[in-house]
Amino acid sequence: MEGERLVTSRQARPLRQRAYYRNRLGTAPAVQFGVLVVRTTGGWARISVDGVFRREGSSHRDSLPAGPHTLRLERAGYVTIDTTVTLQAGETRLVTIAMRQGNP
Amino acid sequence: MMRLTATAARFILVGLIVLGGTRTLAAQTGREALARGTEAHEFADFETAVRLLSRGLDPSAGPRDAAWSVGLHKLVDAVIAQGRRPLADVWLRWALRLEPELPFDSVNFASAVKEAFDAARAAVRASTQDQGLVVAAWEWGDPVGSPNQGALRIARGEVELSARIEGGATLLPGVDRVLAPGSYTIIATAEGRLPARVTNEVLPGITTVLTFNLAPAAPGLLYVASRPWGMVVVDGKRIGYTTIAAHRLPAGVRRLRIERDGYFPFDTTLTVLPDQRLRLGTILLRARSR
Repeated sequence: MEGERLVTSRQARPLRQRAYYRNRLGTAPAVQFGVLVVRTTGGWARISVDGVFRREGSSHRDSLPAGPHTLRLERAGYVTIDTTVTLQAGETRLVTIAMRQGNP
Repeated sequence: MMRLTATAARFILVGLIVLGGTRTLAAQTGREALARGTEAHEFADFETAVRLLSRGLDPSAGPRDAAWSVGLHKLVDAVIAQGRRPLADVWLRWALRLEPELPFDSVNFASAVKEAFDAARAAVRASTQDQGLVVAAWEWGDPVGSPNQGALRIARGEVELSARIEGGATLLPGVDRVLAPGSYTIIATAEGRLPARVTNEVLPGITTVLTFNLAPAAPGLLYVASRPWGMVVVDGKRIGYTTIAAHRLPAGVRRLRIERDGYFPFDTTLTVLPDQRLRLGTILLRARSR
C-alpha cells in the first residue's frame, strides 16, 4: 500500500528489549520510556510513528523512548497530518488529532 | 400489634429499596460497561476495552441502539488489534444474527473491520436457519470454563428432544457443554415433530441457551385392511379397527400390530413421513390351531 513501509524483524523487536540488552552490554546509557496515545476524531487514519506504519484505526498506543517522535496520520480523501511529539520519561501523552477531508 | 406492623412495614420498605437498587445496578452495569469500554478503546487500551465491551453488549442490559452498535464496532476493532480476527468474526456473526441490517461505520472504522463485517454478513446469510423454531438467549452472568471458552445449553421443554452439534457431540437438554467460541450448527429432533437445524454462536465467557419449539409433524395416513377384520395397535396403543379406511399416524418410526382373538397377530415396523399416505393392502390373519 502507498506510504506503508516494511518493518523488518529487527525493527519490529520491541524497543524496550533492545534497550535492555544495550544496557547490559554497557554500550548505551539507560533508556527511559514514555507512552504515546494517539486518538483521532472525525474518522480513522493510517497511523505511523517514526516512519513505521502502526495500524489503521482511530486510536493507537505505543511505549517509546523519551524524546522527539514523528507522527503521521494519513487517509485517502483526508488531509495528511505530520507532527512531532516530544515524550518525557514516565509520561503518558495523549495526542488527539482531528481528521479533515480535503486531500485529492 | 401496631408496633409489629410498623416494624414489618419498615422491613418491607428496606427490602424494596434494596431490591430496586440491585435491579438498577444490574441494569446500569451493562450500559456502564459499554460506555467505559468505548472510552478505553479511545485511549487504545484494547485489553480493558475488550473486557468491558464484551460485557456491555449483553442484549438484556439495554436497547440495541447507536451506543450498542458503536460498542460492537469498537470491540471488533480492539479484538482485531489484538490479532484475534477469528474471535472478532464470531462476535460479528452473533451480532448480525440479532441485527441483520446493522450498518457498518466506514467513517470511523478501517478496512480490517469492514472486511470482518462483510465476511460475517455473508456467513449469516448463508447459514440455514429454521426460523421461528428456536429462541436464543445468552447468560452473561457466570462465565463457564476458562475465560476463553463459552457454553451451549439446550433448554428443557415440554417435548423431549434430542440435539447434537452437526458433525460432533450430542447435547443433553439442560446440561451446559463447554465449547470454544465459534458458530455451531445444531440439529434438534423429537418424536412426532419436524426436525430443526439452526446455527448459532458461542461467545467467550457466555452461555448460549437455545429453546426449540419444534413444529408438530403433519400426520401420515395409514390404509390397511385385514381378513378377517382386526384391532389396529400402533406403538402399543389401540387406535381402531381394520374396517376403518384410514388411520392418522404421527410421523416417525411406528410399530404396527393387527390382532384378533384366535389369530396370530401381525407385526411390522413402519416409517411414517409427514403427509404420507401409506397403503399396506389386505393382511391375512392366520388362525391359531385349536
